[in-house]
Amino acid sequence: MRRSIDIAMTDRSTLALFPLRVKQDAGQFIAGRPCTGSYVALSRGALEAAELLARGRSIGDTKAALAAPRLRPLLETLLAAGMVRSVDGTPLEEPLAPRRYHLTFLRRRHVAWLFSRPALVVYAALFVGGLGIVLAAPRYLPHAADAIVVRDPMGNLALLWSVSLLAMALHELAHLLAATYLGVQASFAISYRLFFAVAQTDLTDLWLVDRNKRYVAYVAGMVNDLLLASAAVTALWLHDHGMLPLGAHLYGTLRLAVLVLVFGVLWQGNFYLRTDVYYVIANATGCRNLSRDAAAYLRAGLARLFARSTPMLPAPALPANERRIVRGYAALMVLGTAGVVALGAAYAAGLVYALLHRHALDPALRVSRQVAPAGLMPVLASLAVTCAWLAYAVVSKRRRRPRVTYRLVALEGL
Amino acid sequence: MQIEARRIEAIETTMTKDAWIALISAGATFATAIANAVS
Repeated sequence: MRRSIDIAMTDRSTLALFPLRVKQDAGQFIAGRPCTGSYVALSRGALEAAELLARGRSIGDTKAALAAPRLRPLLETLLAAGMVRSVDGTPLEEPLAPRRYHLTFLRRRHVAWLFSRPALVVYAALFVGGLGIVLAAPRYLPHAADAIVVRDPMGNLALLWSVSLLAMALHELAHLLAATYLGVQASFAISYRLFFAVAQTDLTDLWLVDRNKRYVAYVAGMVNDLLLASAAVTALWLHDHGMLPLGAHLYGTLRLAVLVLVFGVLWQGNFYLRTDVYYVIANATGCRNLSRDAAAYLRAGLARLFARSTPMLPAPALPANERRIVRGYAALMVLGTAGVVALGAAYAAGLVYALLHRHALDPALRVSRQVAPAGLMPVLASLAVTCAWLAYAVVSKRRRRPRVTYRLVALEGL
Repeated sequence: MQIEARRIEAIETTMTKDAWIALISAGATFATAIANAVS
């Protein structure tokens, strides 16, 4: 249950803050509490104000010391981010649940070799080799038919799930290893993007890493996918040239792995769904809230369309260049979401049609069952697992919401 | 002095298990188009 609590403050109020980690970032400062995964961006003035407040200076004293007319936005931000331990000596309830990290036994020294220069040379050679094979012999490109490895539909589904889950696990592990290399910890979760069931790595502590180094963690998953796909393609090529004997099932499974991995990388192109490519774009543009600002921009646009009262961009106002980027991203968000929803709907409609209509009426399709994983049971089993995944992800996300929200009540202008 | 403060979003990288579903048709077309172009 989410509760709203009023916090009364005056100019004479004093605050105690939780210990914060601070990092300079593009002319501003990022302050955060890794234990709750909560971060704020502060101007130099806001950081100095927070430091004065943390030292026990009252709000009024802090305003006078910094010649700042208002501290209210800062106070509200610190409260919402769960960074205020107490107000006038009264402890506040923690609004955010504590984070859990995974694979915390890993240290930088354990993973540094994976990001060393010799390792990068090996990766480059592997990727160039795989790419060369595909360019020279396009038959190694993934194809829809690669999804069929064995004739038994349930067996095929089990194989597809196994390969997909393994690919997902390795993708997320690559993100975590990269974060460990950069000196921060991370955690895994099951989540969703639109109607896609996803595995997720929480890399929020990357805010404490140099902006240019964050790319390593952002692209680690996709690089892992491409390298694994390259290795699989190389193994297939070696088999076809009599240099690496592979059984028929292993050969088919490797083709399936290439399909899953390459499509996984292509899926990352849906950056409007906050995929890995999104974080690369957000980092490159310096927009720390690109998705959230774009969503707010669209909501405000819709509200204005219907109510004609809300301004297009809610406070705080963004710099002109960031506003342009947010607008562009918002447009792509609408187009991309509409496109992927249309594709998903077409796919679902096609599936339903094939299952309920053609499959029932056209006996010729029974022949095609030998080469396609058609049939009600595999599809229903797959849908059931996906629905359970999505339901768990939704419930889990709701549980991570703030337990309390604080509303700042002030009789005087803060 | 300017006092600006904003919460910033979480960083949550992802990988879907359903990429093959959503992109299978597009992927097949893509592969065919490349194969046709190369051959």
